[in-house]
Amino acid sequence: MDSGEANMSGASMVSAHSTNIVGDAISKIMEFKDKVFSIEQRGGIVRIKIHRDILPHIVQRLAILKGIYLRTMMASDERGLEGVYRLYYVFGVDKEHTNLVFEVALPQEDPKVPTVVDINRASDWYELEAHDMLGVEFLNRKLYRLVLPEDWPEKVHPLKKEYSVSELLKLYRPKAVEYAKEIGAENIVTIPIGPYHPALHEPEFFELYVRGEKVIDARYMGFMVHRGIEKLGENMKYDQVPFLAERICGICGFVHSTSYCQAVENALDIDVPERALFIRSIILEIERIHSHLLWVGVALHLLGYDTGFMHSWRIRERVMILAELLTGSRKTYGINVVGGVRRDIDNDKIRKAIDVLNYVREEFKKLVEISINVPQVTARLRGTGVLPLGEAIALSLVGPTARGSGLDRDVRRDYPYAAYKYVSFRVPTYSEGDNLARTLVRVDETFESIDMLYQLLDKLPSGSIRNESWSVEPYRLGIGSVEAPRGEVIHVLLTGEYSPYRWRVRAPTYQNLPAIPIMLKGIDLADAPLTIASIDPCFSCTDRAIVVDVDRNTVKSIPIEALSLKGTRAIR
Amino acid sequence: MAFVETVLAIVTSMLLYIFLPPLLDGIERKIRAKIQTRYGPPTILQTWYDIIKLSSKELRIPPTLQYSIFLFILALSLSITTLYLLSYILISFDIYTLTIIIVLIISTHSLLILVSTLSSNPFSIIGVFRGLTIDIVNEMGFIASIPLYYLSIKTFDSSVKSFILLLFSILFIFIVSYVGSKRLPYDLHEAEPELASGSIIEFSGPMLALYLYLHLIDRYTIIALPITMGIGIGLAVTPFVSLFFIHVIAALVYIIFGAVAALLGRSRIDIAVKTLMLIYLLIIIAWIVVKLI
Repeated sequence: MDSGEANMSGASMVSAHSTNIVGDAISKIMEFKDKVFSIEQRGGIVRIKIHRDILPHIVQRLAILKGIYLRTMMASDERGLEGVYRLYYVFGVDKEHTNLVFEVALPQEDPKVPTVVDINRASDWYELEAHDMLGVEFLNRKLYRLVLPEDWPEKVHPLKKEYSVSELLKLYRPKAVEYAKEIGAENIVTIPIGPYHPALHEPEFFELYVRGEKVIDARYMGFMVHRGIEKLGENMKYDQVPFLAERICGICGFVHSTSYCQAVENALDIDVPERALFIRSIILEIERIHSHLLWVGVALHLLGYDTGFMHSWRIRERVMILAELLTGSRKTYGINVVGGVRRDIDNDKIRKAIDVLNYVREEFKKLVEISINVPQVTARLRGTGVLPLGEAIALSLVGPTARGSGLDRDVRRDYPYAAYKYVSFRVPTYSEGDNLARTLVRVDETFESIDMLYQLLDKLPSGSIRNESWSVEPYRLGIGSVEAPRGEVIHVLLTGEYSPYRWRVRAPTYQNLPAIPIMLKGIDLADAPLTIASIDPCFSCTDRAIVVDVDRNTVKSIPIEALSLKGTRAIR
Repeated sequence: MAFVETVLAIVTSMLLYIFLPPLLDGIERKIRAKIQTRYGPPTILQTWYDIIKLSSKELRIPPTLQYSIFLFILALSLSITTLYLLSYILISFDIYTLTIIIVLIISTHSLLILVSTLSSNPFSIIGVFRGLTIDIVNEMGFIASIPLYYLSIKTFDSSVKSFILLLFSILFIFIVSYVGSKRLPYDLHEAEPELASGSIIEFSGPMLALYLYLHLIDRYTIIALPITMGIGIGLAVTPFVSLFFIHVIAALVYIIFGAVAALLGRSRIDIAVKTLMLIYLLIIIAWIVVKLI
């Protein structure tokens, strides 16, 4: 087939059905029509296959257009299908509810592609992760390990299809045991502590360079407990994965199972019963309320206002009980399946849910009024951890972090899913970009969620809650995205025969974390914990100790075992 | 006054000073728990139980804090001497004894700060120096507030002007007492436990018990001092009546301080220093202006 004709017809078809931004994007892409292999549109997804050489030019053109941002990038090993590795760059056009998916095939013998990190800063971690997990080489940039540990064997890229999970377990043995022997500590228990836990007590590692009490610079290191969930998902059946997906997050796991199910449903064109869509939205909003109440409590605790913390969690407890009433569990509900949900809501539960919502609305209103009037709370929230709008756009930030900087972005409105199209709601945004703005976004969202829940419970339609008559068609692409309490969660999925062929998960913290060093620069050390917490980060559990001597310009890592032994000897 | 009665008054007062601070801390913890909808400690004697239990543990002293035990003992001796003089002042109030009490209180503070700075733990040091910065500002406030308060009581003549002067000086001295008690929003020495911890993190067992006890005595002393001055200078009553009023009012103020702290958040070192210096300067200037009018 003449590829040029295919290009033109594809472009005409898309342009005819596209509104301004997508149409403009397609026009710009067609400047390289010799290297654009095909353009297909299905639902809200426009798939554009391009040659790897024009990727930076395409990203450059998209950067000029306003309202397009990088939502995620999936790297996939498709050597068994077409003899290539393939990169899927997913750009979102919020205003037109459309995803532009650029597919770049890389020959297996030469998996190299020009970097786009100098054009799109949000692509930095995606490229590093693709390099770690699949060995893709990104040209003209410094590549280093992001996800894999330092002692991971060279040239073993875990997402390549030739490695099974059991083989990977044999290939990698952490050197911690040998190291413990070296320092004579093989008999002691390793306890993850410090060097410090700036917020939320998870395995984050921030180096804060301070002069006196001022933070002059900051650096983040993460991915210390990468769990290989995407790889695990490739060996599970479609209906098993939601239960794994829900365990990605300990607070808002339901967003992941929903997002996964939506990706499968999107790929296979599965119709989900309306009642199931409503139930998903109800649980998602309950999850948002308890997550925001948790965050408000933690933020107040970090500000030393423990009375506010206690009351926030007291109110949250009622929401947790409500979640248990509706799903059977306080957390990790396990009710999502591809094609619907597993548990229904009856009228008695609706009545009880409304009672809880009335209680939460009144109590939370009182708490907010009191907390905002505590002078230390306002003084330390206002003007600290400022993130300008320009940075939020450049880093493709999501959720309350973006909305606190005036970036009006919300998946519930921009890419409607579940039952959000049936309810009216406001998307709160604040332009100040400081910790107070991000706090107020969450406070307003809590009230919006309560209002939304009233509407959803009132309009809950009758009917079945699950569509079980669906079949798998392999190698179809699906995207599922959900507005989690922390921001947009997006799952990209390529279907396989019995399991997902490739399942890509992108949590909001992945997108928002690069903003923290910007927020931290120039603030007082005392405000660092709250500023880090202000994006409501989601890490998991390990730490390493490091000492930076700025005067001597030296960096020294200290294993926690050594610290422990030193301390034990010292007090003998 | 009979010798026996004098001795009895001093001994009773000393016993109250020694026993009350941990008990009041227990009450404060219960009240704070109530405000925060928690159960709190099982009994108001819990702080006493904590101190007794910690005292029964093995003595472990980190190398850089080897000599701290001696400094703690010295601080305890100074505190007990302060308590004795605070009790003695009920029998015979004079400015010299008051001066010695002030010197002793500041010396105890200095010793406790000195012990804290001996730590080699950088996270502890951050907190210690935050606490030290606040202490320096507050000690200046303490030294300035005592003469203003003393003069306000001494020259009180029921006029509006003297009433205003007394009000300013009472406000001043109780703000100083509150800040000195290291409660919220001024608990900066132990602020952000994830980033900075003060001296407490360095102590365990009997050392921690001693530190806590000294801290609680200090909290109570700096509240009781202005009340003792007020009653000692302003009211001509018997030592036992004075003693009763002092401890009842001091206990009430202590609990009010505890309840207020539960309603506040934590300040930041720069905000705290600026705010305190501004408040202290404004009160001093206002007092002088009213005095000169």
